[in-house]
Amino acid sequence: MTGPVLETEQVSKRFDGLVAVNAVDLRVEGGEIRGIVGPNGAGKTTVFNLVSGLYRVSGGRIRLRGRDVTEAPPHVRAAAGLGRTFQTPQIFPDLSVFDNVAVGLAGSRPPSLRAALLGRRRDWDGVRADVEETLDFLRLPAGIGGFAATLSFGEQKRLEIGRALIGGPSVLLLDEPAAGLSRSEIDTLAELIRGMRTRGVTVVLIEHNMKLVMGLCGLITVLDFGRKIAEGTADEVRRDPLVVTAYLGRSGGAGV
Amino acid sequence: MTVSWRRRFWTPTSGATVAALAAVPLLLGNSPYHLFLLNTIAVFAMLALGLQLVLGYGGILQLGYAGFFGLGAYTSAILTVHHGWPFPAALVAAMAVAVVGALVMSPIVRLRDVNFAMATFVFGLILELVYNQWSAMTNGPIGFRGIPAPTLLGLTVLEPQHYYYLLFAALLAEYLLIFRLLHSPFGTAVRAMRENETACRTSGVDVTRVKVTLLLVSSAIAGAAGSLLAHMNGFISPPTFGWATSVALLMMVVLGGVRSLPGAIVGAVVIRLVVEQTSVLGQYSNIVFGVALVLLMAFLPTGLAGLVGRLAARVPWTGRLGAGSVPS
Repeated sequence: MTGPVLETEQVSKRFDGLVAVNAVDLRVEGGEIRGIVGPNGAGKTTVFNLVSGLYRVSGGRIRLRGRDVTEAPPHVRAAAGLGRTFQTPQIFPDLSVFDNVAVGLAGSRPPSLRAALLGRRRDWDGVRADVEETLDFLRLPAGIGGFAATLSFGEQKRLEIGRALIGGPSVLLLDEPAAGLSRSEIDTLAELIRGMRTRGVTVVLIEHNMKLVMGLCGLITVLDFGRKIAEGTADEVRRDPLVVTAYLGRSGGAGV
Repeated sequence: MTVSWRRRFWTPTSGATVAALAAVPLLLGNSPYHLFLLNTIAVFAMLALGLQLVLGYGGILQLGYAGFFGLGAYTSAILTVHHGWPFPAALVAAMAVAVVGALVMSPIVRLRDVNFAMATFVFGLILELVYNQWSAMTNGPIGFRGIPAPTLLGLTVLEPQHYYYLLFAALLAEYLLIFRLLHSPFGTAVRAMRENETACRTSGVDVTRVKVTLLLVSSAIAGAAGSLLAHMNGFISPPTFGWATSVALLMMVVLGGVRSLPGAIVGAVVIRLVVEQTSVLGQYSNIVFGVALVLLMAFLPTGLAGLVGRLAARVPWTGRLGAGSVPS
């Protein structure tokens, strides 16, 4: 395939008077692990909500694998190969671990009433293998029949990644995957994200843990006040005067 | 087996329950009143199961369900009496008309929470109004008389005992259909949707489509129940299909236990029996019902199924009764 897997062109989002995202251009090539960083309120999560279709853009276009999905509802984007997670894991607490992950197949194999009533149960057995493989990849414990609510916070976050990953997305958006994780869990996470790339998944991650971002991401995009203020390798971004001002100006020298 | 999709309906417990329910008319002997009560309960059990699917599992606040019950009843009555249709065809038509009614209502699934609930409630009120006002078709508040007993395979079902088996077969078929639906990938999407719609949408579930599907399926069930009621009683009138019935159905689901199929049936049995006992109160029975619903929500939010589940958890040799979500 030619061209970027994910592309936003002059994408903006206004909430009444507030401009949360202002004409952001993003070109993510296949196989990348892209980092999106910026101070709190920079508009990072809003960009994810625009890309995944939870918000409608106020202006600009969004393309997924060359296809314009600007007006498409979220489930269509998921079916077109987009997966995402949330800052606080959005799981189904009263569903089993198995069911939580299996829901992620809805994009590639839409659940239908017809199949439910007429399909043979054997046809669904392939799903079990997929779910087990995904849970295995994410190093989640084997108790797939247990309720998701009983998992630890870190496991719930991996469960959510599993749901986003099982359908074989082209692009996976991870919103602060390391937040709230222990040091060893973060190491595991870094390995998992590298493993995703070998599975052909392009990863875009929002993260405040700069060590993780610098270690994983080839290119880093920096947002501030809804604008893209810098983009480049870790070294380039670190030296960018605008980035330094954005961080030092507000938070007194943390991070970059 | 941890995968809910592999779950089978037929177990020794379910088989014994089905056999026991099939034997109930034998125990009641020839008491026409008790058989009538039993058959009425069976019709309401069908409705409660249908509402359990859409409201309990789907989390869709369908508060006008009795209106669709009425669509089935009047369709079947009009087609058999005025147009000479045979019962089986009228039954199918009753389901079809109820589905069309739900299709007409379906655009409101885009409304959220309270707005959606209000819209379904009003939709039910409109249907009740139609049954009252469109006298040329429904005979208005006086009621529609002379609906023939159903004829199946050349046999007319006249005896209430026989009618019970017709209803029992319909109820069992419905139960199996819903059970199968819930224990499939579609059922997983339904249960997930109730817990977190946003996560469903970003995971590729077409939430609107799932909701509309649930509304249509549950309406088809209500339509069938309406047809069966009409031919059972030979007489129908608007209040049966009004908001008070919708509330009573809601109570059956809540009392029995949200997200429990056996609970819905138990709820139908209990509420219908209570209705019979409080009918002497006349108009005040609605007050009794209202107060009962409030107390129920306050003290037994998980319903009887939840209570049974909690009690069963204390008894070492049981484990599978009870309810909550579909155990996987």
